[in-house]
Amino acid sequence: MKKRAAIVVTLIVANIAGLVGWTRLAPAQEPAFTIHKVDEASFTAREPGDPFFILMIGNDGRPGLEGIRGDGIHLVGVNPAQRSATILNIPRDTWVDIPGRGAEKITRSMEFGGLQLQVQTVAGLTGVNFSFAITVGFDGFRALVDEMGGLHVNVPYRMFDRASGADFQPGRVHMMGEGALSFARNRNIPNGDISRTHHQSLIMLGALERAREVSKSPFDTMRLLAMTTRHTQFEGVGVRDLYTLIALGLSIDPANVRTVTMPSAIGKVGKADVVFAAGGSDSLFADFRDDAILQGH
Amino acid sequence: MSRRSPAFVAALVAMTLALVTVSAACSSSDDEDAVPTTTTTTELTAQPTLAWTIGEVDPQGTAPPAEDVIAAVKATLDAYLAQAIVGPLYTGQPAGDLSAVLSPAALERIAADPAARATLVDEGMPPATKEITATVANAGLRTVAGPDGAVAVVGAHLDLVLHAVGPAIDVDIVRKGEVILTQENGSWRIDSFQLRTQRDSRA
Repeated sequence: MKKRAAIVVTLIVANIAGLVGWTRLAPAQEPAFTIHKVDEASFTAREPGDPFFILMIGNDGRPGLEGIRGDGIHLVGVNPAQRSATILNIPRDTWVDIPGRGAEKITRSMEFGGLQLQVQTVAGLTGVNFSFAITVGFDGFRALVDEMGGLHVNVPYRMFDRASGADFQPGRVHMMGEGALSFARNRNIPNGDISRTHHQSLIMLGALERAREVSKSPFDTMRLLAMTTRHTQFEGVGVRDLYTLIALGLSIDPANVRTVTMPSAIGKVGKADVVFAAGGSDSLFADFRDDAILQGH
Repeated sequence: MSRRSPAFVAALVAMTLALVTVSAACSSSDDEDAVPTTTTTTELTAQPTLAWTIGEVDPQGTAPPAEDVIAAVKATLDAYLAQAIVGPLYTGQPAGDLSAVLSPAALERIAADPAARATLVDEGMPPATKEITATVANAGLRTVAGPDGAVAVVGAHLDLVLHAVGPAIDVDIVRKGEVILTQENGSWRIDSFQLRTQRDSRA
């Protein structure tokens, strides 16, 4: 009798927890993620423990804004065998050679030649071969974070910025979609874009932490997969790939994820403020691309 | 009222007792029919075939799975039951090649983690050659379909209660938990699992 009562209580608690933690919404109108196949064979044909790389791009495309730029550029290297990952952040104003266009800010490669040129440009800078590219849309991202129940971010210092809406005290802060977006967009901070790109990687870490919190069992993972699928547009890849990425991501403790920003120097080209890849960048890229783990940096 | 001889009365009492005994025996036999058999003395002639009953199917807000997807997933779960559970129980030998029912990732996991293997596979026990029966073998499914409507990933909540009997074994095995199946080259295989398996000896 006691056992039966315990089961009933457990079911009730589980249902309440399910209702609180998982609010099923209608399919997202705008995707949070668009997953593009770049070189899927490098992902599917590899041994299960082999490292692979994803290019994540914050897409600043919004209604009323002409042209689409890669607003946040992050190289995610995953080493499944070590259950580790590295997020390598590239400032959007990094001055690079864009194939066919000459020297320009790296963010403009998306505008000039779409995702393909963006991938080509980042690969040219870093020497990394990507399996997938994932573009992140603002509205979809906000909705997805809301549906996940928010996430926690370690805010490094006081932030207040009317333009982005960022208004945070330093420390561990729980953010819903709007807050996370404002934190990721705020440039009114020391070192501007260089710091911002690091902050965007903190959002990614917060999302991983939240995903692990809500995925304690295979059925939880199925729920996360279903939710993410509703917020994802697939370009040449399928739900099976998304599941594999999610499963691999969930296997990695955020404590085993390093986030590092390309060594940078702020300068000017003409009147434009730009960022130059500083000394040590090449060795960092080499360290990153061999196994997705930074040993010497 | 006629008088009966002592011999007649004795015979009547004996007949009555005999009838009561037969009746009790029949009654006992009926009871046994009403409850699943728990012990037999005869040897099974072959490895028994058990199968899952598919319960609720939840597409989780994506396109519902086609019947053939459910049938294919059930076939894989049935094959898992035969190859990883009933087979080793019946023979008392380790499970053979499980690559038809487990993905490379799952195979890697059970090779590296004996505790995980023990939740998935019934090995290391004396052969259960007299009886292997399931009183519960239910699987509830959760599916996820892509924008094209094709289901590529399926979760299954498993609830399995077995009784296995052999010359040196009489055990109840309760297995509950969840697995995820993925489709690779047209066939479904278990890719990840989180099961709780309890084995209680009746002896």
